Amino acid sequence: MSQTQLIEACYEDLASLRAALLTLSSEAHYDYDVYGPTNLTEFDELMPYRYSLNRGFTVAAAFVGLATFWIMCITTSLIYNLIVGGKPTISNVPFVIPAYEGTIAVAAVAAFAAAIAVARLGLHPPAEKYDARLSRDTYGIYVRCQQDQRDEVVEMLRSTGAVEVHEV
Amino acid sequence: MANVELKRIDDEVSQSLQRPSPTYVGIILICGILSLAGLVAFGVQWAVGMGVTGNNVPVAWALYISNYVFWIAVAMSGTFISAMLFLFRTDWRSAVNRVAETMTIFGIMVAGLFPFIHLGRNWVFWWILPYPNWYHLWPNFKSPLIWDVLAMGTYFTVSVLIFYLGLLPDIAALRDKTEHGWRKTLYTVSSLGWTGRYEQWREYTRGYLALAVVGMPIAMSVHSVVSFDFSMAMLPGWHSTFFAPYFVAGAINSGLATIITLLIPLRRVLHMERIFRMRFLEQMALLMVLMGWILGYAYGNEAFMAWYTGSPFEMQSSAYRAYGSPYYSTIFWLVVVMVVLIPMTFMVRPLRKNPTYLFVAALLVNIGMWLERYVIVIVPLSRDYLPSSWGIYAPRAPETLVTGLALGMFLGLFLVFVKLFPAVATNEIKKQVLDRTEEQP
Repeated sequence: MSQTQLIEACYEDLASLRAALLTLSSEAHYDYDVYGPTNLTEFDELMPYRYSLNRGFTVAAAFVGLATFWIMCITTSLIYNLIVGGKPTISNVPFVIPAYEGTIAVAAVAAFAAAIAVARLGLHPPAEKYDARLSRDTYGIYVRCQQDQRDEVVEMLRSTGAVEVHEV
Repeated sequence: MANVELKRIDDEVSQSLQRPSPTYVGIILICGILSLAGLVAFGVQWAVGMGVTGNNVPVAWALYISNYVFWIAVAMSGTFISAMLFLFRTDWRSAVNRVAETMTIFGIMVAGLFPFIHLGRNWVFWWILPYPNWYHLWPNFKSPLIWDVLAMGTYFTVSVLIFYLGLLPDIAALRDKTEHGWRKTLYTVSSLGWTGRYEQWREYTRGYLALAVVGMPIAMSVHSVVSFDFSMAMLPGWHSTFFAPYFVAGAINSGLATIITLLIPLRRVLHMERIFRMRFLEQMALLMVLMGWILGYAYGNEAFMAWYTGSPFEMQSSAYRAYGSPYYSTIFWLVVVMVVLIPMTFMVRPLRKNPTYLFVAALLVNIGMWLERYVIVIVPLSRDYLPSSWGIYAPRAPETLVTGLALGMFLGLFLVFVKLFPAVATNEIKKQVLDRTEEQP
């Protein structure tokens, strides 16, 4: 049984990176990761689609915030029924503002937390195998392949314009 | 092997974080001294009582509240400008958004001090917090003052999150460039293990978009809610439905002026003229022309509505502000010149292309915006319904020194920040440069 290998290819520009991703995405049997110092979402259509919970979570949190703050206003008014300017104890019109603020606050915290959690970020340094150039001035693709596919993968990555290909 | 253009930007940004010059350190020290003097003044006020300030009937809301409105306006515009430019995909956003967002964070921190300082009996400040207590006493959620606290808290939360999320890729780049030392630890911890993997960029983009979408309305609402503090009161000069858009336009104007005031010296000190290009500053100057027109309309509208209502109280309040008091009227006309007329000069191309002129003009607009808050808060209180309760307010040493504390704290924190973290969204600038290079044949 052949061993799994990790090959890193470095690219200087987005055109070569796109070419490499086009080739890799057409060859369905490769498992690969892409890294870069700039936003890579322009390659969305070349990457495997994964549903993200981010937006759903944000919208759900917004409703939770709305309900929580509105209920807080009503409950506190019932406990401390201060009458202001002839308004009823539970006066929903002024409560729109705290409810609105609560909606936004909870939605924002949820959007951030979801982004951090789904991207698997946390208080840990990057793995040792990580190439530090990839956050600064170089794009990189890591391809996992079997040992007997190694030469084929290296050749393919070189042909797409990789300036450096090596085993990790 | 690396992309030469990306490496150049990376080096330029890292260069800006090098050890500061003695002048730079000197300015931070001056800010520290200003802050310290303000703290001492606040200490005196704490020990002796609010009587040491000029706040007294009829002007019980004075310089502290003017400062609060000014700083919250500076803060409001930062995230608003950043989120608005992001949603409209404006290309020059990358150069200004970090400064705008930083300004927001420190602006809110400074603004948040003023309600506390103004409170009096600060040692029992937690009585205003919503927590279960044996008095069964809760904040009144029908009050604009409580709305204001909530709006500020929400805005601060959203601004910090949008700011920090945007900063992550740039901190990671610094982490990977820094060899060792406390900076390495700082960047390693604060980058949260960012590696620039596609999945991270995807979630970053989704999260950032969600935060920008919620950031825009909250920025609009925060200053509208601040305006409710005044417009909900039955006081001639304050009680107006026009206050919310008027406050928002004023806030955007002072935010743009503050960004220009900060960026022009910064680009020279940090040697980042190629990143903070004059074209971007010109675009902001043109936006200030628009805001100047809106504010000019607002001042005219205030006078017109005072006359149109037929209310003698509204009319006397408006007339008093414009020509009734040599002290207040001089300030009012200075505001008109600084906030409305000076931005109009930006329509002259050679003037807005001149960094020295732009800096001086933006500084004057900032001073004008500060004076505008002074007029809005103080003048209507000085002259309400009853002649027996009319009076003039003049600031005393404590509130003047606390005003200095705000300036020192804001500027000091900002200057320290730009020496620790990139003053520009490096990853976005890199992307723009790459796109431009690839578009060229």
